[in-house]
Amino acid sequence: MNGGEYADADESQLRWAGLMDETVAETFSAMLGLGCTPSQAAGAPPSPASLRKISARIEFSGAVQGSCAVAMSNADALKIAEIFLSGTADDAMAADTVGELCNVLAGSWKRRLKPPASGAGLSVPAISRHDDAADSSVRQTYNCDGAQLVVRLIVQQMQEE
Amino acid sequence: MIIDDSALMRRIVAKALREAGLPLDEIVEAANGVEGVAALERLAAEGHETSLILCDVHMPALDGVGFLLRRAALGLATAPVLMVTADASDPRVAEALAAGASGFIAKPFSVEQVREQAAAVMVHA
Repeated sequence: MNGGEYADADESQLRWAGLMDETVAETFSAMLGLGCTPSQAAGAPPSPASLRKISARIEFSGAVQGSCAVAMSNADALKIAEIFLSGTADDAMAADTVGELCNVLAGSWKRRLKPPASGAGLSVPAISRHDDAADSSVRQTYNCDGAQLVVRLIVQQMQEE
Repeated sequence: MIIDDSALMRRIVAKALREAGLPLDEIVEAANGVEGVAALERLAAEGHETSLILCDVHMPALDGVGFLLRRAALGLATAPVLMVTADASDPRVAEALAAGASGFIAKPFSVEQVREQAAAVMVHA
């Protein structure tokens, strides 16, 4: 973790956040060949384009009760989609990108947990055109080749050995 | 053949297959198991051999397990199938392996991982 947003985080939250940092780095390196590191949100005022958000949420079930959400601006989602595709992308592809990132990050993050939490179930991603800023156990902003994504974990219950 | 309800994932997987340098003449895409079975029937009728199928697990209309069972029932289970999943512990992945899938590729995947997994199951790779 480097410069994350973990104020008042307890030991579990710090570990979950560290596992998410690893997960994000692995995902972007493997699938996009990009570095992706935790960062604070930029201090510049957001542009109108960056205010258009796309978010995706996946619910955990079984040994983990909670959710994983990924939010990006429409412009950043388009940018990542175009890197994924090595070509142009449209708004539908941008939404698909956020949903797929959420799916991969949720799956890879919970794989890093100890059993039985590592075998928790995942829902399909639910996509929305806003960022639901609910209270989170872990909230982290990542910078990936100039694009920013916010990952939030809500953990209500977890069973680990 | 790539079967996935996400157009983005179909393009990502197709790109990985091309970059992996596998001996593939053409990549056929289908958005669910129903379309996948229809594509297999069409290819078989045209005399084309399908050398590899990469298949999503969860899809509307007919999911990955349903696709495997239906193609077997129709006598079309000749090509190796690799499931593509973000959750290797999903019980549906084990069901897919029991239904005839040759293995699975876990997301996130690299081109090298796709090459290794595909080459391991393709007859002519």
